[in-house]
Amino acid sequence: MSDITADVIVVGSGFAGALLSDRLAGQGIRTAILEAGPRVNRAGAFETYLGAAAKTPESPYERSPEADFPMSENPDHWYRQSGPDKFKSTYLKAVGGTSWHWLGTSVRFLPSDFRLQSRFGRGTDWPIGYDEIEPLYLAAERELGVAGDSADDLGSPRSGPFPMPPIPPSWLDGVCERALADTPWRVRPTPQARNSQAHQGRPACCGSASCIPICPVAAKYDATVHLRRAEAQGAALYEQTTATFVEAGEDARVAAIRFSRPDGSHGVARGQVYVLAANAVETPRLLLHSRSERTPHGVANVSDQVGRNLMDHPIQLSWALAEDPVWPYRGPLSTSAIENTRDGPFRRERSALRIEIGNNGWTWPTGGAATLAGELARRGLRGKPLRAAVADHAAREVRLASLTEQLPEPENRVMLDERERDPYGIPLPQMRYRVGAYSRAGLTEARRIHDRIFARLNASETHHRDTYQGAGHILGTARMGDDPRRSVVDRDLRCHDHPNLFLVGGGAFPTGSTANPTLTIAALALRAAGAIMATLSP
Amino acid sequence: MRATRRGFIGGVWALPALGFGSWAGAGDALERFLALSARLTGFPAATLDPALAGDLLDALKAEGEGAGLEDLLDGTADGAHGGVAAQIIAAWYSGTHPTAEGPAARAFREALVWRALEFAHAPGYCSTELNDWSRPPSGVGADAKP
Repeated sequence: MSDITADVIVVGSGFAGALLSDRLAGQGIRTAILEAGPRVNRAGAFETYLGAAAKTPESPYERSPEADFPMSENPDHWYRQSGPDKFKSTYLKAVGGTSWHWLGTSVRFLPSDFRLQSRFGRGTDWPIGYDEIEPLYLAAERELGVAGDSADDLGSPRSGPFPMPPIPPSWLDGVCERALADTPWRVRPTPQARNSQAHQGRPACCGSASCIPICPVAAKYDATVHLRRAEAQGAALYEQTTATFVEAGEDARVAAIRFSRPDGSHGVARGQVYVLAANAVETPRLLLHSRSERTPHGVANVSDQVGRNLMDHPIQLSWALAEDPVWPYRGPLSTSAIENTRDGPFRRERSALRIEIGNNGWTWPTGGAATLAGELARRGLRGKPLRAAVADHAAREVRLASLTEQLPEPENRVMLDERERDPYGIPLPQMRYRVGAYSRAGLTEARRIHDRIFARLNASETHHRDTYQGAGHILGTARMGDDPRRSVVDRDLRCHDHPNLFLVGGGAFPTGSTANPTLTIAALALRAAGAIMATLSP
Repeated sequence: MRATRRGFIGGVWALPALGFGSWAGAGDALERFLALSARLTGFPAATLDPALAGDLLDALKAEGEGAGLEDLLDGTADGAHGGVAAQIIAAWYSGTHPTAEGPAARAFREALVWRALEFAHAPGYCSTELNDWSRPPSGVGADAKP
């Protein structure tokens, strides 16, 4: 036994857990972080990436039976899928969590994203609105170090500037912007947590073009920034320490969290406050598994909403060859997007779209330039004409990815597959998932707009992936709300059922917007940190 | 996929000269393979890495492509063995080659694709010019890269 005692026990060290722990530790609150995965050595992970035949988002990172996680190339690894559609988004288990292989996109929600029901008769409203979260967005942008154009709010009003000037858009972005000048679609630089200049001890982006799966120089923000700071301020981080059970005590308070380690050791972590920050699959999995006499449906689940309303941003992926070179395969993997398709009266009928322009050619859909020569060789090209054709083709590759909003549906859920368990005896996550008509109508509209954009580039060889892609944005499974019968956490991310248990991360989102979720996750983590500090104050 | 495992590196990646060793006494075969590779890839033989060539040759033989390979090495028109020729090209450009257990990575930064793309570099490595992605590439041309 090696028990852990602190004021606050945090499970998970990704964006939310790291940021919150840093805030608490900075106030002198004794904080212990339990992380299932190991610490990541950046140089070692980079070497693994170089040696991987398939450079998937997970390829640089260690996987073990005790800390296994989903695979981009195989949606049936780790997940037990019960359909009708496959859930395709993944996450890591590592110190720093999935922040290791995120893209860095740091857009805010639009004000209307918090009011989908009252504005468009769809989904539900958030219990908090844009005005309430705005100061937290600003704080989160400073914490993560977001580079952006302060003069253009992209529809999300700002009370202050970005901490850094924008990352320069790619040449391709400019080509698209000029080609679409007389259309409704505005190509805008993407706010991103990536250094446009040296910032807080980390260098400026050097254009390694490998943000996913790994930034070799740490110019891209990841959660190790705040973990380092939290540890320096006294937080204790326990790697390879998997939370296996949440114990509810008397008075509805959580009394302890049990944990296990690969070396066979196990113990109990006790604090005054507990925070689950283990992403929107692992958090509900742990809660649902923690069944006891006091919590017959699992912890925090009197509402029966834990694990439900699972959402992603199903993506329409399209690619084509521009008539003229656009010079991809350079720079951050995306530096601009069309944001003004994210809102409009059409949201009554179909999903909005965030149309991301890709700087890495056809890498996502086809494997990209590295696979091109083999393909051209099979068509009979040889020698210098082949070499020239590879260069010409790669120079003209364009890729678009439209993120759609997925409505919360109670039957889209994370459950437990009692037939298969991990080495600690916890059932594997069972995913019941369906991409509904609202998203599918958005995917159809995305193909139409992608075709129009490609036409403006006089593009040939236009392709649309015939099925949605996962965005890696796992949302909704511990939804926030004012009504304890219909939601899991309150507006401070505190469980309705347990006053000393907080659930942070994308699970809290009542609706998903089309915005990449990290900045909102960070803002909500700061909100929860404030509520925890107030709870602990005498 | 096996290739994503950490342990994989020590097996192939970290031992660049492994295959070359078995061709040490077969210089003639290696020279012929380099000449063939030059013809197929469009890069001069003198600029092709002989250690990588030895490994790719080993891998092709291990995959049972020896017979077709012999014909190609003899200078026979590759029309009869287009599949093998395409495999050789794909291996040089991608730095990976097929094995019974799936694709194996042998090279990355050195893969010919990154020499063919004179305007870009292998992902994971820094650009030499700040914010180069925001401009058209400079120096794109026949001799911009070795």
